[in-house]
Amino acid sequence: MTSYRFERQQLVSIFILLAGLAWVWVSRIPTDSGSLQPIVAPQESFLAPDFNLTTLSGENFSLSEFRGSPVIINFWASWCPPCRAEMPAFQQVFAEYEDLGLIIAAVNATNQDSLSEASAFASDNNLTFPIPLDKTGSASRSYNLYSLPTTVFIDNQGIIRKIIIGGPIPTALIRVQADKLFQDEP
Amino acid sequence: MFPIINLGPLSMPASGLILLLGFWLGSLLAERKSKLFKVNPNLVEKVLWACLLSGLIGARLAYIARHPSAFQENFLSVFSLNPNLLDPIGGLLISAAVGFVYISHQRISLWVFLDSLTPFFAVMAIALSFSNFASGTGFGTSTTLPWGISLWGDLRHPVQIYYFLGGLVTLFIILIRKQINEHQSGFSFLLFVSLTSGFRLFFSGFQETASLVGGGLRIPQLIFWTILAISLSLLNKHKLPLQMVKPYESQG
Repeated sequence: MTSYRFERQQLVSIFILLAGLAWVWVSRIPTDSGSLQPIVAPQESFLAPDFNLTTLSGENFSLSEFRGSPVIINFWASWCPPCRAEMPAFQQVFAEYEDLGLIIAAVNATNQDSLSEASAFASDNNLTFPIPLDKTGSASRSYNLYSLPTTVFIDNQGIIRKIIIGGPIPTALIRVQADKLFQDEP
Repeated sequence: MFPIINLGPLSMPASGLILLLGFWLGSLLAERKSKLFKVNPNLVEKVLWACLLSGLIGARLAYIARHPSAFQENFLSVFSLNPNLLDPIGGLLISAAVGFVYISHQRISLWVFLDSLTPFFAVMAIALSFSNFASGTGFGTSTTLPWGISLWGDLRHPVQIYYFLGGLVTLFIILIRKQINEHQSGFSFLLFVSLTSGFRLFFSGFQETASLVGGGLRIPQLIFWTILAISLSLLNKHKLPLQMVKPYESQG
């Protein structure tokens, strides 16, 4: 009797494993169906949503134009203490990695900020990277912005590699993530 | 999704809070159920806290070891409270090593102790699913099913809810086992691993992923299938190594 139960247990296990393998095969994503096209979503491993904004200096900033370069997007507002605290770290890393081709864009959530105060903050801190102004909140919405600051690390293929919600982010962490963006280059 | 919980001026990451709550509930449950396995609840509590603290410190040390140059000019970042400066794998390995050494010194069978910790693992699996749901990590493939949720311009499988429900079923099955057979030490733990990997293998078929291998196979599914195969194989061995359990009162 014991022997029978033991064999039955083994058979059930084999059946489960075979069914599991069948499910792995059935639920695969066929490479020829076009479904492997990157999905646009504000999530790690997916294609970063594009946006087109005007910067503080009056130039156009379109994320898709920077495909081919690693990009760090930092959403911020001048009234947000952690945003203010971490901005010098971004400036420091930008100075170190600019020559390597790293793009940093500090997207100001202008729809919930004062443009004059944002401008004064950028000037006081000698920020040299582009500061796109999200006046309507469209970029914030496409990135499902829940909290400020939020920082998105995007590789040269436009794929989001890391999202960090909250801050201030230590300089060491920005450096590590920037290095990873360059290491991931094909 | 609710990645941040705002309490007055405080903004806290929901995922971290849920995991902490899971740790607390899981350890309480494991302590209560440990008597079934003749393991001292105080020992369970001590081991879990030792693992948690060593895991956190180990995760930070492992992160620094992997990226030493990033800290050279900013040494104070070593003490940053930012959880992104943690190496989860390193922390897990160090935590497991500390737990193993601690248990070894108590002369308790590892399998028996893993059995007593199974309710903790089951609660943490549920907390992890809920934490991922809160932070918005991972999302499902397109569906026409009535319970699909609208996300990224499409109706999608609520995969984190599937994982959450699978975790609840696993916990229920683990808890309804009243007694253990001393010849089956490790059974509860292996049952938990089998159920969890089985549910994950099934539900991850509905998850959108970019981690694919030849022919479009999902890497997470292959990992869960392997774990399932190992745990079922061990379950089928039926008799697992059993060491004598120290008298209940002298543990810890």
